[in-house]
This record gives sequence, structure tokens and C-alpha cells, in this order.
Amino acid sequence: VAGQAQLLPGTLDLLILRAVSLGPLHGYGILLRIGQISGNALLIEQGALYPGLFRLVRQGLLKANWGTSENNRRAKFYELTAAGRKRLREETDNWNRLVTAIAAALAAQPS
Amino acid sequence: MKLLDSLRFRIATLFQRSQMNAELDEELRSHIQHRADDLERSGLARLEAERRARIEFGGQLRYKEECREAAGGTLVESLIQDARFALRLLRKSPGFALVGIISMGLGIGLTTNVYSSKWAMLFRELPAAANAKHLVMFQESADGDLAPVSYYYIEQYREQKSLFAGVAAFETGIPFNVTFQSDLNAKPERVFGQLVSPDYFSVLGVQPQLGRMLSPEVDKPGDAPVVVISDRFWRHRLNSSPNALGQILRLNGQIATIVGITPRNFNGALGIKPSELFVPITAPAALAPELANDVLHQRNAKEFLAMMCLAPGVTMDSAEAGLDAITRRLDEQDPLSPVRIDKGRRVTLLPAGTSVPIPRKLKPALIGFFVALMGLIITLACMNLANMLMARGANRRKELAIRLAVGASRFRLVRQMVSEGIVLSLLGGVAGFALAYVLGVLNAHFTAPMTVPVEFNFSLDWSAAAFAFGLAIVCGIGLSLAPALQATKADLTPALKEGSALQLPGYRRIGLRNLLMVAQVAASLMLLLMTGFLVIGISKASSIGTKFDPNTMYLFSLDPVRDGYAPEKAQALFEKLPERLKTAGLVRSIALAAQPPFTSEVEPTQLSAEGSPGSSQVLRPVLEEIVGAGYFATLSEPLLAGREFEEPDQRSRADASKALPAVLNESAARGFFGDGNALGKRVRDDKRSYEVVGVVRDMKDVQGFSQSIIYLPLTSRDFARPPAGGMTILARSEAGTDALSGIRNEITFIDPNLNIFNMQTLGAYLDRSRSALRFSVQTYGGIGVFGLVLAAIGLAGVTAYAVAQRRREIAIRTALGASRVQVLGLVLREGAALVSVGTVLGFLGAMGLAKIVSALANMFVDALKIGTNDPRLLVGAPVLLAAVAMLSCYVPARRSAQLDPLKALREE
Repeated sequence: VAGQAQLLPGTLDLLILRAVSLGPLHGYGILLRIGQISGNALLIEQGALYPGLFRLVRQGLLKANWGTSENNRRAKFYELTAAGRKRLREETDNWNRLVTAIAAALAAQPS
Repeated sequence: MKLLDSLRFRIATLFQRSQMNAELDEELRSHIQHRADDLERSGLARLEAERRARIEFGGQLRYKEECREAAGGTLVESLIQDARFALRLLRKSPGFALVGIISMGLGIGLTTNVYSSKWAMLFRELPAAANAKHLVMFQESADGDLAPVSYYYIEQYREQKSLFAGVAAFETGIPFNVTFQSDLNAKPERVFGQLVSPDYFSVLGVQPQLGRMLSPEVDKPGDAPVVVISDRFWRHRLNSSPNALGQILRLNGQIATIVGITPRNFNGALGIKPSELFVPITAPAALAPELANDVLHQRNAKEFLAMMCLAPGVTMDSAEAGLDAITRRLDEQDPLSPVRIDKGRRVTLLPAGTSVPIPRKLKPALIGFFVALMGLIITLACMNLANMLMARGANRRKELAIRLAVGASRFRLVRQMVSEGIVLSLLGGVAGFALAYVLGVLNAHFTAPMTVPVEFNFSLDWSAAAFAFGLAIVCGIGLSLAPALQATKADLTPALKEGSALQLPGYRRIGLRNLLMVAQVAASLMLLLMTGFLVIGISKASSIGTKFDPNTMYLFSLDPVRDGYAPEKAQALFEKLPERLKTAGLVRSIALAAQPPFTSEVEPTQLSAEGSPGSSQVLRPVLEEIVGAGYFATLSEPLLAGREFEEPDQRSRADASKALPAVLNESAARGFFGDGNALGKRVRDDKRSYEVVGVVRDMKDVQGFSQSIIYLPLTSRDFARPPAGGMTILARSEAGTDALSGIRNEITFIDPNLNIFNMQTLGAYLDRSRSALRFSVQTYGGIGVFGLVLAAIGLAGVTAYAVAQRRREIAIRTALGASRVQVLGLVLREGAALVSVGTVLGFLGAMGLAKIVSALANMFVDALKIGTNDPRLLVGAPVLLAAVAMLSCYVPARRSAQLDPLKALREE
């Protein structure tokens, strides 16, 4: 597992929203998608995903429906709501600003 | 809206709980299956793939819990869950649960009892009286005795429209002999009521339930007599008859028409003495002897209580100032008024909107007293439980440390332990409420007989229930929070490593636990001593020394005036009655009195010695009892000096110019005249002077107190206006003969319409009077013993805990060669130190408390004086407590000495 980074607190929600924004996914699918889009660079304990999902549903950012997976198993599929889509945009902007600022700070050379 | 939505969501999730749990299970299973599918595809066998998937997933239980929490609705659900868990824990240790429930139950029960019988009664507003907040009355002195005034004064006060919205006059505790028109042959019933001015109800702000209340516009002097009945009278005596209005009652032989029914629960002003009839003072005097002699127009007839309703915006202080000025002017105009040189206010007011008016000055003290009393009781109970919980929490340290280590939040654990405390104390609350109910019933049962029935409202209402359970919850939180915080404060590593012996290094410091222990020993000893003082004191003081068998004396009462007799005819009856009964051979000796013998109901009056130099001129409170000829002979009390009253004294007309004869008891004689001869000397009150003709031994009253008493002769005035209890007749007969039926027959023979009431032997009367006292003595005793048991259980628990903590240390000592006695001594030393400090503090505390209580409540002075001088108690109680305490240390300590060192060390 070398080369994997610990998640920063609070970033799991953002990752979930991002993963789901590409289309409805069940929980395991979300994990795979995050792995895929992050180049397997992030370490997420599998079970830890679910409390996050429940939280997002409760906040009305995701909605869930039961369906059948590609493996022909029953699974609960999550997709973004309008509020979720909006939140994803805001959070992405926030994140970018933060990263730029911190990167700039770290890159600054003593003049 | 958002709040409402979230609330609805939470409620919905609560009900969809089981469905949600099933879905959650399915979702996680699905996740694991998908993962297993992937692993299988990479070449693993199905079983191995599923196993690996489960391991990768992590702790399912924990994530499920987090999911449930994230989904909301957790508050109610987890509270229920906590409560269920707490119940399960308690069921596992029934001994702990039982002791806890009993101790909380007792604490809450006693506190609720104090609350419902005292607090609520003292501070509850008059039911159905809209003006309750604005009502005021006169008080005579700072301690809240009500001051009667003449009707003339009330009329003058009524003119002060700027001060008062209304001023009503009333007299309470007035007996009426009532016969119902429908039943002419029935014996009349004696019912207590009030004489009220017609504006009484409008001043109180009371609206009728049916019919009309009295009013000055409608009810004029000379009208046909009317009466307003209370809701209780209507329900109990008229069976809630729909035809009650317009029905005719015979009151004291005169007819009166029912015009209205008061609202439910309204028993008149000063509701502690419930009134069932309200007769206007405009009624003819034949209806009530209290109205005789044109009492409304006698300026010196101070017979009426004034009930005043303050005008809007007027404060009690400004009303008091205004009234004071008017009263001074009125007093000066009045030639008969005694000259008073007073600097202070002549008039003081007190709020009157409760069933017992409480002077403003007294109110903070009363509140303080009851809060302190209730606080002390509940603290003692809580302290015990807190002790036990703390020992338990410490024993569970290892369990708690493990739970903390696997990720339970501290908040969650504390909440869990606190809910255990709440469940325990709520169960205690149920037990306590039941106890309060039983106490209420017993209290009502053991109420001493009174001339005018006094009604303490012992019934528990919703406010008492709210009080009890609110108290239970607060106590539950309070007493479990500290132990819970302490137990979960753990540094994880040592707690896991050393198990429960974690506290070892700091053990000998004065911990919270040791403080609690000392406090508990001290408090239980205080309780034991205080209750012991009262038990011994009261039971010693209350033995009345009659010089004859009290079952050979008969008491009964007659009230001929209220049976329709004219005053002269009543007096004639009483003059010939003793002779007739004696001649008929029914009684050996007989005497009349205006109150039952040994009564404790008489209010003191202020008297001073007259004239002679060297004697005390100070006003001193003396009880005034009015007795007839031969009273002391009938009681077999020879006079110590002088003579007792004779027939001629009884005939003397009450006339201010001539001194009435009087008999003093020893205390009174000594108080007025020192050790010198009191015969022939005079004492006086604000109306007349009395010449001492005899001195008699001090006799204790039914409560066991002996006070200064002046005995005055019956006069024609007493016959014309009999006291509320009627005239009491004391008759002695030979032992073994039942004279009662003979007396009844003889009186019926004289006049079949005479109503005989309160007929009983002196023995039965004394028994009933003392049953309340006996009951309270037994209650006190019970409380004291219970405190002792609580302390013992608490000590045993704490010692057991201390021993458990020191298992390793003890095992090492034993392995190194310490003998059993040495080990025992080691453990007992701790206990002995705590017990002796607690005992000393408790002893000092009890002595101090006894001093304070006797200073505050003079009814306990005698009892406490006897009690605090009783060596059995002073030595016995501390020794008993210390012995019980040491025994309860010894039992768990012995177990420690039997410890097998190898086993103990291996276990750790």
C-alpha cells in the first residue's frame, strides 16, 4: 500500500460527490470509481464510506434507490440531487482555492 | 420550516427503524459480495474471497452504528437503547439495583411528602378566587396571627376606594346545626361554615358554579335568610342534587334558602379550615349566635376578619401606610380603645390569597427551611447512590477502557452511565411516589381531632408527580455524572494494564470517595441522633399523668343555642344538668368546660400582673381555658392553694368593673409572681382584670407540652355564645359501668331535640389526639434506622471496592509473609479512620442542629431537652453507628484476608 495518502478530514464527502457526479453508483462502485479517478493514490477503509453516504443522503445532497448491479446483485444506487450538484461545484472551487493558496505558500522562496 | 422537517425526518426514521436496519444490513452485505466477486475473479475460491472481503471491510458493527448516527433520529432511539441497556445491567446486579431503588425511593418519597403536604399547601393560591394575588389581611403580630376588628372599622376601611377595590368582613369556623327540610325527624348534622358580608365573593373574585353568590345589592338586612353552599356540601350532603337551588335548609333551627353553589374546590378564605356554608351577616341573629347582641354595630366587638382586595397599582406597603393612619384616627375617636403608645405600625398586612396566610417576613425563612429540609433528605439519598455508583464505575474501569480503546466516544459512555443513573433514580421515583402516597394516606388517617376540622391537603396532584419525577431525573443526572466522568477519565494504557487497581498511587489522598464516606457517616449519625432525640423526647413528654383511669371519664358536647335555645334557657339547662345526671346515679362527678381537657388548640393571650411592686409587669403569653364549677375536682386535681370555681362564679355577670376570679397553674403563677404567694393578686388583659383565687398543678396537654395556663370561670356570655366546639361536659363514673347510653337517654328525656356530639371516653380522646404524635415518632424512628442501614450498605460497598482495588498489594504482602490479622488490620484501618472522623463530625453536627432547631421551633424544645440529656442516646447512637459501620467494613475485609495470593497475582 506504499504511495497511498491518508485522506484529509472532510475530503471524503467531496470525493463521494465527485464520484457520483459521473453517474449513479452503488457503494462498492463508488470506492472503485474513487480509486480509478485518483489513480489509486488514496487510502479509504471500505466501511468508512457508508457513514459518509448516510450523512450526504440526510443532507439531501444524494438520493438513493435500490437497483440491480452489473454483477446481477441487488444494490443501493446513489446519485446527485440538484443540491448535491451545486454543493459539488462550490466545494470544488473552495478546494482549488485552498490548494492554490497552500501550494503558493509552500513554493514561496525567501526573497 | 427546516427545523420542522428535520424533526419529522427524525420521527419518521424512528418508526422506520427496523426497515432501515434491514436495508443497512443488505447494503453492506451487497458491498461485501461485490468485493468478493472481484476477488474471486482474481483467482480466489469463493469462501476465501468472502472471508477476505469481510476482513477488508472492517468492523461492521461500528460502521453500522455510525451509519445510524449519521442518518439521524439517533437521540430518541439511543435514549431508548441506553435505558434498555441500563435496565439489563441493573437486572444483572439485583442487590445493587434494590438498594439503589430503595434509597432513592425513600429520598424522593420523603421529599415529595414534604413538598405536597407543606410546600404546596403553604403556597397554593385559593382555588377559584380570581383576586387571590391582590388579597391582604391584618395580622396581629409578626408571626401571622390574624387580627379581628370590629365591623365599624371594616365599614370605614371600605370607604378607602383609592386603596382597596373591596373590603369584606367574615368569620370562619362557625358551626351550624343543619337539618334538611325533607327529613324532619333526622338529627341535625354539625357543619362548619362562615359568616360573610355580602361583598365577600366579589372581593375574592369567586363566580358561582350554580345560582348566584351573595351581593350587597341583593342581600339586605331584614330579607328572608339565604345561604350559599360549597361545592363539597352540594356533592356530599345533597348528592349533587340538580334541585338544590331554592331548597330550604334549617340552620340552627331557622330556615334559610340555598341561592348558590360555589365553584369546585372552593372552601372559603383560609381554606385550611374548610367551610361548607356561607351565611350573610345580614341574616337574623337567630340563625347564628355569633350575630347576637347587634354585633355589627358594637364598636368594641372585635369579631370580624377583614379581607381586603388591593386597588389596581396599590402596593402592600402603601396600603399599610394608608390603613395605619386611618386606624390611628379611629382608635383616638374611640373612648373604649385601650391607650396604646406604639411607635411602630399599628396595622400590618399579610398576603391572604393562600389557604394559610403567610406573613411576608416569614416567607423567605419558610421557603429556606423547606428547601433545606428537602435538600438534606434528597442529598443523603443521592450521596449513598453516588457512592455505590462510583465504586461500581471504578470496578468497570477495565470494561470502559476497552470500549474507549475500540473507538467508543467518551460522550457516548458517559451518556450511557448517566442514563443508568437516571433509570435507577426514575425507578426510585416510582417507589418514592408510592411512598409519598402511602404517607399522605397515613398522615390523613392520623390527624388529631380538632374542634373546627382542619384539612391538610395531603393528596398528591400532578404538580407533586412532576416534582417527584423531575427530582428523580435531576438527581439521576447529578449523582451519576461525577462517577461517570471520573470512570471514563482513564488514561487508557494503565487502565488496561492494571485492570481495576489503577488508582493505587493516589489511594491515600483525600479523594471524593473518602469525603463522601465521611459525609455519609456524619449525616447518618446526625439523622440517627436527631430522630432519636425526638423519639425519646416525645414519648417521654407525651405521657399525660391523669390521676385516674381515663376510661372512666366521659366527654360529650352540647350546643343548645344552635339547637334553637335562647341563651337564658341554655344557661338554665347547663345549671340543672349536672344535678340531674348525678341524682340519676349515672355519674359521680361532673363539670363543664368551653374546651376539651388537655387541649392543645387554645391560642395564647397576652396578660400582665397588676400593680404590686416587685412583680413582673411584662406582658406574657398565657393560654386561657374557660372551665365550670368543680372542674378540678372532676379531674382529681386538688388545688395547691386557694379554691376552685363554684356555682356562684358561674352565675356572675361579665361586667368590666368587677374582677373575675381566676385559677393559675404553677407555671403561670411563677411567671407572674415569682415564688411568692399568688392568691389575692391580680392579672389583667386589655379588657378586664382577674383576681387569683387558686393555684393548680401544671398539666401537660395532649401534645405533651406544659405551658402557662389561666383558668377563667364560665359566664353567661359563654352560654349565650358557645365556642365552636359547643360546651364540653366531663363526667366521671365508676370503673366498669358504661354511663354513655344512660347519659344519652337522660338528655333525650330532658329534650329530644338536643344534639349530643363528640361523645367518647377521655381515654379514646387522648388516644386519638396522640395517634398523630405516635405516628410521627414512628416515622422519625423509621427514618433514623433507615439512615443507619443506608450508611452500613454504603460503607460495605466502598470497603469492598477498596479491597478489590488492593488485591495485588494484599497478595504480595501475604506472599511475603504478612499474617491474616495484619492484612485485616490494614484494610480496617482505612475504614476506622473514615468512621471515626464521620462519627465525631456527626455528633457535633447533631448537637448543633438540636440547638438550632430548639431555637427555631419551640414545640420541640421540651422533647429535645429531654433527648439531648439522655445518656443512652448520646453514648448509644454513636457506638451503635460505629459498630454497624465497622461491621460493614469487616465483612468485605475478611474476604481480602482469605485471598489466595498466587491466584490473585496470576489474575492480574
